Amino acid sequence: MAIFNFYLFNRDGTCVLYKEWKREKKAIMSMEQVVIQQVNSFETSQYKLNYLETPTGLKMVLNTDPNASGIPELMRSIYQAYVDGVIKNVLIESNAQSSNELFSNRLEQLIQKHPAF
Amino acid sequence: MLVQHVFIINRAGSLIYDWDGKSDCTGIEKTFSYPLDIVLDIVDQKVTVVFGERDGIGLRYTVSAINGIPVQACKIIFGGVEKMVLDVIQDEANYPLSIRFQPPTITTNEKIILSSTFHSLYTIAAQLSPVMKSSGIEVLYTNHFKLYCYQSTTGVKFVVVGSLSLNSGVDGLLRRIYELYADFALKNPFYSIDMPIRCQRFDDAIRNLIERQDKFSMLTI
Repeated sequence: MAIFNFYLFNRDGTCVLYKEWKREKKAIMSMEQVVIQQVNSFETSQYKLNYLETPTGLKMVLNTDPNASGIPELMRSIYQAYVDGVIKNVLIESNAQSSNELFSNRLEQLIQKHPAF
Repeated sequence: MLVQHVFIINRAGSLIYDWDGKSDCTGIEKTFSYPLDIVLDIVDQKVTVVFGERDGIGLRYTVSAINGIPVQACKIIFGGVEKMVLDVIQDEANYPLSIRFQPPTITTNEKIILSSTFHSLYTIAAQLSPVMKSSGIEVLYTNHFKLYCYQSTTGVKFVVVGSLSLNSGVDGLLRRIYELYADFALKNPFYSIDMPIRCQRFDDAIRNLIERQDKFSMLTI
């Protein structure tokens, strides 16, 4: 059971946030070019990529262990934290690269407290 | 049926075999008055619904006939003259119109494009893996279907697209398809490696295998 890393993309496909916790293998290509649409998740032999897209085009990608449970609910909690920390902050251009400490800290809490971490 | 599509993709990403479960492609015909409340546009040379789902007509449905006259791509023989479908629909004098909508289908070229796309996605999933020694995509879940993929050690991919209720026995099904590929394609002295498979016995064997899968759901190999 593990949660490896997290991507947040805006509707244009730009990566606005990337975090990793237990990543062992670094990617060769730029992570900002990853766009996956209309898929709930996919599994490989070693990890599972979970995907959430909101109707406004915000996309989240969370890579976990294939056996991790409760990930869809976790991703909805992350989206709720994003709304509270970023959307409701009038000083932030929400399409830009996110450096919001409130959201980052909340994200860290949600991930580290989750049983799948 | 549970299994909707089977694709075999060679190691270069080309589609060499595809099998289709015959899904019901019944169209929907309705009579409309002016102005038409469904927004149509030309997408990939077809008149497609882009807004306004109702009465079973959904997004991406295409116009296939008007007043019983078949539509050819974007044009129709209307009143003895060939016209653009959108022009016919926008002319108030033509109403009331009986328009037939067809659910979206997939052409052979689109299957080839999608197979190459999946070949790339498979590789990207392995390269972007956060852990060591990951394979490519083995299962892909969406809201409407599941896609199972098995790649042999020689790089040939066997892809099964099934409904959400297809859960058990898929690994056995994929390996059985691999066996049939080895028996009917690789042992065929006239078959060139990586070329499309055109073999009636292979088609029959695949169909029988999938029918058995639908009935018993757990294959005895």
